[in-house]
Amino acid sequence: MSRLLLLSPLLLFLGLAYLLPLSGVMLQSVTTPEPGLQNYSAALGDPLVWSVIWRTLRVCLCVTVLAVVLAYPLTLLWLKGNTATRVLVELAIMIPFWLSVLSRAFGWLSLLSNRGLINSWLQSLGIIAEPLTMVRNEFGVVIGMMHFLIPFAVFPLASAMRSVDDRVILAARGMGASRMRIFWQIFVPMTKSGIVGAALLVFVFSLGFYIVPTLLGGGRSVMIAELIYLRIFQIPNWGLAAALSALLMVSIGAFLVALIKRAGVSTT
Amino acid sequence: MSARKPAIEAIDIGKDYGTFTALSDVSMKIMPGEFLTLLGPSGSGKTTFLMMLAGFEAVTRGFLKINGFDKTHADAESRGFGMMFQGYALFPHMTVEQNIAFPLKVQKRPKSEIRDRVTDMIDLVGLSGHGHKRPSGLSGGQQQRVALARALAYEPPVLLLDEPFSALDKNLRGQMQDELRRIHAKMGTTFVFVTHDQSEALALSSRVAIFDQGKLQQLADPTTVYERPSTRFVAEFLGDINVLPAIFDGPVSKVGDFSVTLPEAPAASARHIAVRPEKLALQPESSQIGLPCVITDRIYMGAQSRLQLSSVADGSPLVIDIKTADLSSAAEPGHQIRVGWAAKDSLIF
Ligand SMILES: Nc1ncnc2c1ncn2[C@@H]1O[C@H](COP(=O)(O)OP(=O)(O)OP(=O)(O)O)[C@@H](O)[C@H]1O
Ligand SMILES: [Mg+2]
Repeated sequence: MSRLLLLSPLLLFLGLAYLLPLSGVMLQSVTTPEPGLQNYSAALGDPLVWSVIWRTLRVCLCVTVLAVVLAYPLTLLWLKGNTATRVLVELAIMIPFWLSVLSRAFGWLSLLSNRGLINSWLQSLGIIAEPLTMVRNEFGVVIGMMHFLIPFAVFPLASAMRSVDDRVILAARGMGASRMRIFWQIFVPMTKSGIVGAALLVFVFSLGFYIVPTLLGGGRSVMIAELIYLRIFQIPNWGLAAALSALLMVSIGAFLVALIKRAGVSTT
Repeated sequence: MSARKPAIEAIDIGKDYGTFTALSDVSMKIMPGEFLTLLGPSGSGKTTFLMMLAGFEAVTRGFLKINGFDKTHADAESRGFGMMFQGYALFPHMTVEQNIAFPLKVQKRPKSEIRDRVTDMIDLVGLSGHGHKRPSGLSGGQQQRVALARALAYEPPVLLLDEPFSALDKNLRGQMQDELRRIHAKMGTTFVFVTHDQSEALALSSRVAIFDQGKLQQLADPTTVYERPSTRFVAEFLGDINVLPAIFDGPVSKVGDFSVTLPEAPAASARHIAVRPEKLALQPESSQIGLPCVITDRIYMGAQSRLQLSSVADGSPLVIDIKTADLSSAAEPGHQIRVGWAAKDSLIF
């Protein structure tokens, strides 16, 4: 009873800030403009919506794989490197946390755009004649999102790597196993829970990304969150936007439940 | 044996962890095919020494030679020793079979041989039917046997075993000891074996190295360490012993008014005579020689009985083990008796 009392401010806050608006959205999706499921059938019947869903899944999958694959060696360096390396890596992981996602997206824009740093540099070196298109497409979106999400992949990986018993690695070394074999057959499988956890975190996080796809996709690589925004503010269709939001939420929820049920996942 | 090169030779080896000295000045030669046991109380440096032999811990001082070559700073891979760790160090994501097969796969043995060998080893350690389980699904003693099977499977020339039977019950422990002895006799592997259990050490090994507080106290065959311990620590660590204050006058030693003439005069630092309980004898009741004692307790232990005594002169406690059949009815608590011992059974500290 007293526990509930202690929790009540938090519950009240969550109720007011999330549950209430959320149920509002849910309600709108079946009441606007008139009661019924027509918003859902419109959303699921629209080929544009489907192409956005497929793009979202494709981009998020790419981002997840890249972020986890790149975070893995980074985490190893962070945990096992010498002191200087560790400080450096730690800074590289922490500093992005202090920068707003907006300024980071603009940063990438100035690097990747047609007259950005990379293109003008490559052109002045004579390596390319025409600028490479690196923004206003999925490439730019993937780069920007991946950069944002790598630090989030580091922490589940680090906790899994920390829990690997050093003696197990020693035992394998003592048996004459090569470093490659130890890495692929012992170390990586022993950190599997961290890999799954990191992938899950990154994937779920990436599904709702809005600012990065908007800026780096330049309106061409529209993802689901941007589509919802467009349905609210450009062609005002609140009912459809609400239905899309509900679909996004339910599918992420279902995905999470399925995964957590399948594997005892650690995300901390 | 002395003509052969030692498999391992440690020369004044020492190990510091920061400012703490875990091991100092350990020198020993381990011969090929030997079964050497490291025995000592917890924290005496046994694991540390083993880890340095294996190449998993850096050596702080001294040298280590393997087959005559200096390997003090060589890495574990180049030594090729098998090691069974105190915490087992099984691969948690592999089944029992995969754990045992791993070193065999590293050695690129043919598939069919690996399969046969894995089955043999699982049978050997009595885990048939558990081959498809992960370590987390096994009891502590079962995990320990998997670790043993994995270490034995690939037949390394030197096997370092850190308390391989500590989690097993008495019967299983006896079985595993027999297996190990058999394997040792058959394969000629050099074993370095760590244990807390003194009877295990005495029963299995060709030689026993006794450690205390990071120092090697004595290294000798089991009979010698038991019968002729070189320090009081060794004498008291292995089995029970009566340590009696004594006065020495040349070769003549006196405990109270019972005197024993030793084969030779002890060192000037000698203060005590020590005698194992089974080396003490009750003197005949009429005898005038022997140390007068009062029986304080009589403990029946089956074939043997133990009398607890207290010396009449200064009250120092003694224990004596004798065959139950030889005990007279007079040997009851409260009675006074005399005990004696042979000069050759006296240990001087
Ligand atoms: N990594 C380490 N850092 C600091 N001290 C250590 C380390 N490893 C061991 N020690 C210390 O060195 C001493 C010897 O330890 P060791 O593990 O060799 O003992 P042991 O004889 O194997 O004991 P046990 O029978 O309990 O296994 C202990 O006092 C221990 O605290
Ligand atoms: Mg130990």
